[in-house]
Amino acid sequence: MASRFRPNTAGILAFGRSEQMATAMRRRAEVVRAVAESSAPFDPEDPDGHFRDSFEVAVAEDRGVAVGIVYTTDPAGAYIELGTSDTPAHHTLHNALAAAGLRTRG
Amino acid sequence: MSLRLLPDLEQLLIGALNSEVAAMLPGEVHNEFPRNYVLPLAVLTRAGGEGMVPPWLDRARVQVDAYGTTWEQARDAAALMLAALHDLPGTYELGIVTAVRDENVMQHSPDPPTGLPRYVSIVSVWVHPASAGS
Repeated sequence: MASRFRPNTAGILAFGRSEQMATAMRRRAEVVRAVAESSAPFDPEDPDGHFRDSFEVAVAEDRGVAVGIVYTTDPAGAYIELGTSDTPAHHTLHNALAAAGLRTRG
Repeated sequence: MSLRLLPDLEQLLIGALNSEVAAMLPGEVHNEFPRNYVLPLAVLTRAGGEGMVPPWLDRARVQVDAYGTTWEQARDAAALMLAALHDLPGTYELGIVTAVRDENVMQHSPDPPTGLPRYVSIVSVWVHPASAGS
């Protein structure tokens, strides 16, 4: 006899924005931050502060489910990440995501 | 014993893209920002990746920076590059491009050293050698 599976969409979404899911996302984001801090370029004499020490972690809700976010507060962060016409891109956060088995959303 | 090397992805892509967009991108596609340049232009660099089936199938993260004299021109150059990249899968002398996937495209990112408008796009490209013997 064939049986039919009907996913409980409301239940899946409720789990996606539960406290447990938020905690799990924060843990994964913390891993990404640790990798980023260990691989970020570091100039001890930089008078403007250190990119390596600029990463923050947050948890937010996206499309109804919890997501972990890792970001930099360094104003030059985007240029370090993506490079400029005279400086190669370092891809610190992209590579940290990849090292954690994650990928950026296209 | 013979070693099989993965294709030079940057050389393959830049050559194929320049053939594809020559009439529409006067400044051409480069591997680094040129000293003397014509706009609009694009700079393509490999930004990492992984050997999916080493040493056969390579998935590369590729960054494409599109520069123009205006934001509109830079945007059009970025769109042109993305269209050409997605048209690439096929067989080339240096290897076979099997797929292209957007990762993070058309990011507004002005270039401080030159003051030029720039859009940054990152795509994944899958490529493998042209034959088992190459």
